[in-house]
Amino acid sequence: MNAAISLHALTKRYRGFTAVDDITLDIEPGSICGLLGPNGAGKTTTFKCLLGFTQPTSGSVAVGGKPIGPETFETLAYVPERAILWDHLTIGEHLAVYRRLYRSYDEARAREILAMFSLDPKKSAKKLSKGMRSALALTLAFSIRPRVLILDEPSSGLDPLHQRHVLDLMIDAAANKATVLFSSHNVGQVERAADRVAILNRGKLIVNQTIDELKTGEKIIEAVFAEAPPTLNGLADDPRILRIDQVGTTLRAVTRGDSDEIAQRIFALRPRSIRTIDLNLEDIFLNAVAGDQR
Amino acid sequence: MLLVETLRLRTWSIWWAAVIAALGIVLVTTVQHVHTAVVVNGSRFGAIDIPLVAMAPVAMFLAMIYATSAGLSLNKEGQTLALSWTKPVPRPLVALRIVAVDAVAVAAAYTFAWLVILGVIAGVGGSLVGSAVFPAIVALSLGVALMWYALIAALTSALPANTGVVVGFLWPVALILSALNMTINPTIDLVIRALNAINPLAYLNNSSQSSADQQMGSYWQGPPDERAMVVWLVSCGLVAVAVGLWTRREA
Repeated sequence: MNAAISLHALTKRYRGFTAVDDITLDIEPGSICGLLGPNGAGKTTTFKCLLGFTQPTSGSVAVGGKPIGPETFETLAYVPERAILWDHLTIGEHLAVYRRLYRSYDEARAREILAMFSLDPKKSAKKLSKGMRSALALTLAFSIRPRVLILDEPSSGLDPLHQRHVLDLMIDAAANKATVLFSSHNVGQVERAADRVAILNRGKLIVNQTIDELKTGEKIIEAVFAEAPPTLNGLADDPRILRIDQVGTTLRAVTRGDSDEIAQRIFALRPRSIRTIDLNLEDIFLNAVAGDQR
Repeated sequence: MLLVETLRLRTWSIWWAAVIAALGIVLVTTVQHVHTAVVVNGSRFGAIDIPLVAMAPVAMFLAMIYATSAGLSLNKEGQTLALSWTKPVPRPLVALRIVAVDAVAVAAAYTFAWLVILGVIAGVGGSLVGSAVFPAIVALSLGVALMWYALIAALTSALPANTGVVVGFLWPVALILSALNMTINPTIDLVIRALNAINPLAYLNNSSQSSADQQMGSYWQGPPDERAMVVWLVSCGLVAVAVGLWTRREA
């Protein structure tokens, strides 16, 4: 089956600076992929290349197995990081433009989402707050019932209630077989909505796994010793250990793979207590980025 | 995109038309209240014959003012490329639809200007005198207004901002270039001629058929209908440049 969104060896350089570095990523139809990364990691540039806003230096992108073209946008909706609207139009006029441009425009759905975000169709776009602008951009995007959604920080500026609405809209779209690729700085949102996570750092794709794979793969083993932790006997060189921190009498090891065997090795050092903790996505993200910086 | 552009021009069109209409009303009211003072060639101002051809530059100038703002449409749409380039419409077609709406709006503005001019002349009791060259003069003056639009569009469609500087300088530069008719030295003369090829005002010499113009000579010699044809062709070329530059922008 063709990937709904496909990036192959995508690279974008600006005057010697590599913003996106050899990214290959396939997103299956009907899935929600959360794109995480620190500021300047290359998320927005990746979106720009994907949407044809800028020409990649090398590599290729495809949506639905085809290169991006005007017909792609019949079924693709994009919401940029900074909600871009026609400021001389009212909310209702924005909807009128979409009604004319898209065969798949769903008036009832648009009205439903407008009501969800408490938007007044008579209000001028230029009088909207940052959050309301994001809400209108999202309304427009979801009103055409797209097959592919690309959302750059979709809940930027929204209050927690409306942020929850955005997650619900994404999950609902995916349940109806739409593919969603979204970036966010809110790791909790990604954890709640996404079934796959891609982490970018300094233009490189450093993680591309499902949430389940990530969570079962990495754990923290925390051991507390009566005195300072003893010599680690080469533990730090074990490839299954991503990182070891020692703070006072506490030793904390981030592991990937067989955490039980690592726990047994640490237990042999006679700690006062030892426990294995599941990582949340925030830990995984921070570990991945910190590991990549080293 | 037709709707987006039509609505973009809405406010400017209303203001422009209101100001022009108000000026016309003020002019008529003023003349009607001056019963005895205004005497031209021995008769009351309102009684004189007014050649239609002489009014064409007025309509053109008013339409050029309108076109100055309309010409910035592609630039303004450049601030919302993430919206307009994610629609199921090829980019050149998006740009051409914007240009089409603007061109129709400039032509409508030119027509409205004529209506106001005719209303003023009727209001002051003047009588109009036709001319065989009038259709050609209309084609030329409307063409100049459209070329002004196209020139501004071509100069600003790829600019990220600061279009006010471009438009602000364009008026005096165009006026000065069109007036530079003497030979200074061959190289400068060549540069001036080249720049005047895209300067709408340079095509106006002789258009009023005034003796002063005839004495000055013209860069673009020839009857008004020929010059009108050149103006329309250059306008199309400038639109092509504007569209080409706009579609090559980065969002």
